[in-house]
Amino acid sequence: MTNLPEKLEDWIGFRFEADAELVVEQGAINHWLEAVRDANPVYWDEEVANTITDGIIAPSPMASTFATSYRWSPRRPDHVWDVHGVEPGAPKVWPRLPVEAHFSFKEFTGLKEGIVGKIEAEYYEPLRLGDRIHVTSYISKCGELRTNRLGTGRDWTAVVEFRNQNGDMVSIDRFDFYCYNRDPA
Amino acid sequence: MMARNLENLAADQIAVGDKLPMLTVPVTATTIVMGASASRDYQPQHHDHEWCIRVGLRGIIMNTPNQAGWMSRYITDWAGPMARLGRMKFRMRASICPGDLLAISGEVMRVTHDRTGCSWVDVNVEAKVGDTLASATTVTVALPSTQGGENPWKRKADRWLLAELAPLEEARR
Repeated sequence: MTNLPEKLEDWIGFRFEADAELVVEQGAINHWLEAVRDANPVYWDEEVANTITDGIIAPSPMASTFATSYRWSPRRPDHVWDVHGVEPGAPKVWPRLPVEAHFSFKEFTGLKEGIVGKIEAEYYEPLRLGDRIHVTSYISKCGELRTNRLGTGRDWTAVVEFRNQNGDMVSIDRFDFYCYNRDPA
Repeated sequence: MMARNLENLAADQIAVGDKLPMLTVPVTATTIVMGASASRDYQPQHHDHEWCIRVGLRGIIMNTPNQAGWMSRYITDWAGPMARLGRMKFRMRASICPGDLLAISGEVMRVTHDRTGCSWVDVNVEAKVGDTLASATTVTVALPSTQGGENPWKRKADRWLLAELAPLEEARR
């Protein structure tokens, strides 16, 4: 486990780096297409994809899917990816991809609850079969403590950069969170 | 549901104010759980009804990556497989739960051309349940400038100039 910053201001820009466990593959793409009934042939029809996208690609928003750690894996059978305490006591996967920076920062601040208000995504090099993602996550900014109807907490932005095995940028996600503790009634 | 579309729209066939065909999605628990599974999102609010009721939600809720998948599909159903997504911005307004009839609609807000000749189209997409806006999304997608024009997927990083695009806010009403 990385040595984490001890001061809040030192968390801004502090980077978590890791390679994803998953490899981009057709079965996972098909499952995504199944879920949203997407028939775009560049995701599954090799002949069309060869013409348009130089081979089959994954839908642009799938980077986080291929970067999310397995909940359980035979390569680390004693660890579970569980950020919501559904399996209390189970040793946790480290890092919790793709947004370890957010999870770690949330724990640092002691803020228990969190909501996402806005997400921005940018898409660059397409994901191709066989790609493995390298994930970089960090907190880019954090506001002062404030109180609203939910409780008292902070706004922050978590950035996740997804690169392929060649170092090419695939996509960037920016999450605007408000994390808080409920105020005593 | 729209049928598979192998035709491609070009930017010169599109004008600001054009409306995209509406897509309606009858949302079931299966829709939501399958979307969460396909995006590998096993947070309990996307599959565990009892957990959701306990924390005050009205049921399991559709996760954001799955919503991104519906938006991506909505745009390429309309514009064709040469349409290449550049960026999306989501604002979540209300939860989408089993039993909802999700109505997705879109409107072209801006058409621009960058210094390399790439044509970019900004589309506002609204996902509504009844009269309630569940999510507001702005999508920027690159299209061929004309029929037979350059396929945006052939552009390498040095000609994919997302950083030079005007902010999405300027395309919104």
